[in-house]
Amino acid sequence: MPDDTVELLQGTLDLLVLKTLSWGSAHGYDIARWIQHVTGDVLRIEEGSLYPALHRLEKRGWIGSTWGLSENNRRAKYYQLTARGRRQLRAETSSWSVFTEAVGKVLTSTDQPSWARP
Amino acid sequence: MGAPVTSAQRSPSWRRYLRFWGSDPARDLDDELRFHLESRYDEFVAAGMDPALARAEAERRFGNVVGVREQCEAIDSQWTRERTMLDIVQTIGADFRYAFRQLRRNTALNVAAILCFALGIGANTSIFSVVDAVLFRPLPFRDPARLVLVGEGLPRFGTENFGVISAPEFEDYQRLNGRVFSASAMYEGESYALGGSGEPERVVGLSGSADLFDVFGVSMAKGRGFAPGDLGIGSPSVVVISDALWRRRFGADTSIIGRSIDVDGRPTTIIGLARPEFRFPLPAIGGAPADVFVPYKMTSDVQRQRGNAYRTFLVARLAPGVSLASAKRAVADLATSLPVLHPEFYGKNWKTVADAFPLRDQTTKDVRRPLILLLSAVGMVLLIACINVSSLLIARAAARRREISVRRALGASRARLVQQFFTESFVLVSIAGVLGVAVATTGARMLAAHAPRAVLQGYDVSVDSRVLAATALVVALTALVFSLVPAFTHGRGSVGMALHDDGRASTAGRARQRGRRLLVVTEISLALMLAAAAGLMVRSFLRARSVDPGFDPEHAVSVRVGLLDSRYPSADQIIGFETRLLDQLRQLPGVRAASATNELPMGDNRIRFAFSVEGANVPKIPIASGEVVYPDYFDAMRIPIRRGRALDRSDVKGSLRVAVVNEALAKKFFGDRGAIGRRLKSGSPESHEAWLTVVGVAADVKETGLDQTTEPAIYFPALQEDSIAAQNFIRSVAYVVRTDGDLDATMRDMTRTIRAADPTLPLIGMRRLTDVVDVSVAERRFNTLLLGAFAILALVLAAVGIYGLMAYSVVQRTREIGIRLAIGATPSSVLGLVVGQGARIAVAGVVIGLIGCVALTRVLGTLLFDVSPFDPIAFGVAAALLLGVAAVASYLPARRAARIDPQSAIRSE
Repeated sequence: MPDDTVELLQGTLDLLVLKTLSWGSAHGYDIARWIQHVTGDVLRIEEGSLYPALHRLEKRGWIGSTWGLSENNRRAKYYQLTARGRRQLRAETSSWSVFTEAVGKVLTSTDQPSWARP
Repeated sequence: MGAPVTSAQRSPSWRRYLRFWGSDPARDLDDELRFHLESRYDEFVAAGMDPALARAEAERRFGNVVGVREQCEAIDSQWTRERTMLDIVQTIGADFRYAFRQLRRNTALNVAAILCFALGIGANTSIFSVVDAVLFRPLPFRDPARLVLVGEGLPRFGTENFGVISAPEFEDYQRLNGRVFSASAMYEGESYALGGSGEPERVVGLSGSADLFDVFGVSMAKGRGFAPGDLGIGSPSVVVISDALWRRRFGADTSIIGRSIDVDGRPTTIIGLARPEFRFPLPAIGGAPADVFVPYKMTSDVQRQRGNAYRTFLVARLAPGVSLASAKRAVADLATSLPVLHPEFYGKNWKTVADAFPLRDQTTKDVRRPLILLLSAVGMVLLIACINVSSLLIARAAARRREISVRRALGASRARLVQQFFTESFVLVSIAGVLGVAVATTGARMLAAHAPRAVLQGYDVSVDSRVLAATALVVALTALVFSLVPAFTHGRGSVGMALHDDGRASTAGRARQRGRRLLVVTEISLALMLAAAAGLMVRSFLRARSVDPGFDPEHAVSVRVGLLDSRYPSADQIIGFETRLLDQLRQLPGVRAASATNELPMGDNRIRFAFSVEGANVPKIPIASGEVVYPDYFDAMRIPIRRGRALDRSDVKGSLRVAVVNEALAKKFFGDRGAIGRRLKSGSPESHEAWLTVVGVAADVKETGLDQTTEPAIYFPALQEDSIAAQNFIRSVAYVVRTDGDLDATMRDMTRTIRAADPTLPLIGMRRLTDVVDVSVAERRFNTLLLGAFAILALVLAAVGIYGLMAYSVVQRTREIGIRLAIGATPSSVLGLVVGQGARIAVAGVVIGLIGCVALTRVLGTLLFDVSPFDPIAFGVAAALLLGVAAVASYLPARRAARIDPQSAIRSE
């Protein structure tokens, strides 16, 4: 994929992860499966790219991690949203709404620009 | 599930061991990624996919495992780096806050430590700034290490090198330019009368050759230096002025170049202004820094002085690549050739030797010893201060033993503790250091203001960056040492023991006390050495001051007046004016006697010259100090005449040429047969000077200083001097007036009389004769005062140390003392106990110090005057003083011990 799309996806991916973790703590695999499930498998992203995102989010203090045992007693790293993360989620959700609303306006506008050709 | 992740493989076995010590980030990452892949694999297999296909699909969906791994590693390691930095900053911040809290907690102790240290640092920085200015700081010239001074010696007259040459010889030495020297210049120090715009004043100046400023490599602030054209006999008079004169006399006028000023009565154009940092000459190589620089005129009179007058300095810059050794050889060779090249000037069998010295050595050789002595003394004071602070910190660390043990139990590493102690010590000594530097800036200024001219004039004494850097280094080192002491006296012993023990009767506690006692004994011995050294210097000073100068300085005043050759060109005019003025001075109310001489005893312009005794055949031509005097001189100075008569009004031109010699000369050269009637003359036996008949022998006068030996001296009657000598020696004379009346009134009368005689003449140095004598011991007094101050400081610090130790000991032994009191000891016996303990320590310190005093002899050596280095009085007083101080310092805690309430003491912990 071209670079700028990856950039966009990275920011969006952060938002998706934060929202997913707002339901409770989860490990990386859980997050991937949830996103896949909720979007009906529409968003196909390389699952590996989840992990740099998770580490970055942890570095910024929006999520925290603990090691635990999974259902089948395997060692797994669980992430949880921090208070700061919660605030960041709220902020990004609202700016996402603003963004999509703006894009929607452009796409559904019936006003013609002055230089339009029939 | 044994399938390994393609990228991570198995982590090396050593990694697994690391996990016992903490988290292993690499392994964690492996686990995290592997968990995802294996979960996906499990899902596919559970859904019925072929295992191999499942694995491939899981990896395909994952993406580039290696790439992901690397990205995560990069993010993680950057994160770790940032967190470590933050950690460090936070721990340092916490340490500082903790350190300040601790400081506030034990205020008295910390204030004592800070003051001790500040005093030590302050004194050291002050002295070091002086020593740095004189001995170490580079001279304000370009590449000063390449500058040398060339001086000659005449084997006929002795082995010493005069450090100067004879002026016409400069032209010979210029042959070495290019090969040995890149530039060379000659100069002589003079005083000049300034007139024209502003008050007439007399200033110190220098006459030099064309290359003078080039040799130093300095450029002018304004205008130019000398050009060869300025040195011609008939050339217009030009002068370069110093920055100090420019500001003082001309108000820093920016259009100074081209202005005219009268120098010695001659209108002179100012052609150059020297930079403010250019100060030349320096003490010992020409005198005080010059305010005016004039070109040296090599007149025919000067040319005739070849081989006769030695007062010219020759300074040169070594050519690139030329070593000092080869320069020494070159000048020595040239000197040997001089009598051959100019046989008409140098007598037969004449030999001249020459040597080249680094300029810095010449300026410092006389003062190096006393300065190093002072630096060592003040270094000892700092050492005592450090010992005090160490002792105090050990006591404080003992009190915090419990805290430290708890912290160690909770996991603080020794390194962490050291870091914290270092921060505490660093805060302590930094505060003290800043205080000390503040003290030092004032101290250095005071030193520069009150030091004798001979030592510091021309040097820029200031607390500069080098001095501050040296101070900071000392501060940092001592902080380090102080911090290590408590951290390492706490290593031993189990934590449990430490928690219960409060440091009193334990073995470690006793060892600590012994350590402190040792420190205090050391500082007492150092203080004793300082006190003894000061005592020796004080006795030397008192002895020197009480030396009979040979004349009576009481009830007499003197002033110097110099006549300009523009108004008094001939010898007759000079003598006429001075004789008339003397007659007028004798008429003043209260005046018993008045006379004049070319230079007073202990003055700066002594003449020394070679002389020959008729009929004597000596291997080395002797040198005597010479004085040209007017009639009544011996009366005015009250110098006793031992034999024969003084010089009087009958000794005029045309009558028998006479002289008076001093006892030293008479004893040495005329022995039992007596001096009266014998003849001598100046110069070598072959010289054409007139023979003088000795008519009197005067008592010895301390010509060069109270603490110097007496040289042979010859007195010449001013009225019999020939015209050249008169023009040279008595153009400027010092008048001596002995009076019964009030000295200040006499000085006012003299000023009025001289101004009435000629208002244009500046009066120089109007003062009492007692001041003249004082100035000669000024340097000795200065050194003694400083050393005394350091000794007092050391005593105070030692007292603080003893007090601290005794006070702590009393606290330690509270229980024991309580028991003693309870079973019948009297308070006074307890007092005696404590004071006795203090006295024992002091005695130990004194004994060790006395042994150390043996080293003093080597150090003080030549600085002492008429005092044996083992002078019992000085040592006795120092020891007694120290014991007394120790007794007083022990008394206060002893009193507290005697007042202990036995019951509460026994019960206390």
